[in-house]
Amino acid sequence: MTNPLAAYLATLERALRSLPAEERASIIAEIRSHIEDSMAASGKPIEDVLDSLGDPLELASAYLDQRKLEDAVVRSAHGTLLIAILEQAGRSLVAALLGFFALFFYLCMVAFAAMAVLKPIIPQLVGLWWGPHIFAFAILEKAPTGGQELLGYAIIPVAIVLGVGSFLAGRALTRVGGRLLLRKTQVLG
Amino acid sequence: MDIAPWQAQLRKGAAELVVLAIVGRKECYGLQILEQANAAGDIVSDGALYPLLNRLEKDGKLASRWVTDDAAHPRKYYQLTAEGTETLGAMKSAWVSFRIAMRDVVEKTS
Repeated sequence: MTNPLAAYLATLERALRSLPAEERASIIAEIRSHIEDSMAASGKPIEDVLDSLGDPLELASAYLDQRKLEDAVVRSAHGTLLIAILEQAGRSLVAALLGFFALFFYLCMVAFAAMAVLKPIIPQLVGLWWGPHIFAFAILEKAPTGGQELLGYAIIPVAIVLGVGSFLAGRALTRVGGRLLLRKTQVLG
Repeated sequence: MDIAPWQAQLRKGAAELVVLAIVGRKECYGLQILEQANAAGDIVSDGALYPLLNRLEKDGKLASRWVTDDAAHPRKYYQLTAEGTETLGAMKSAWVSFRIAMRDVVEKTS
């Protein structure tokens, strides 16, 4: 038979593994101390004490929700920040909108980068076409019949500038969004 | 009518002030905070308290130290920092005005 206290703490510790070791150890020690004190004070069996603490994964996520946003804002790790924002999207319209637009800009960045890279490889399929029946700034599956390609190889610097612009826009959005959400979650506690 | 979600929100909003107020009276550890907070009714749950303490400490409102000699295992004691004292003061006066406004609106009999 396994020890329920050890099992609870092991699950909690595993769920908190993204935290620095020192902080994680401190949380585990505090929860262990709480469980032992509660049992001694109330005389209740361990199962009741663990029940009132709640599911260890939920307890861990209460520690982590806050932490993840904080870290990402402080380190400005955009990937992490975007993920943290998207995770809140189900609960917050602001987060959903911010996440959507930030993701949009990051995808634009990828598309522009792909254009700059592919132009020298498949020059006839990458370009800016303008004509009576066509407008495309794109990588196409086959060269269009109508319209005129306007940029030629000048599309490479243009795509690079647009790509960098999209990246900066996406980054600005995740930063602003992260700060905003952080303030909101702190108010709600 | 199910008012449980509303009650949960009320408690959530109250928890921070309750914790700061209790720690502000005397340095204490988690279980002591729970006992005082819930002496007159459920306000702070076990599972909500510890992540809240963690956050308040990181925000610089609480300071903590481990005490090893008053029990078989170490206990983490919390006290208010200067910033925490200031926050508690501001929250307290906001709470008092809120309580008065609520009483006037909600508990008016005529």
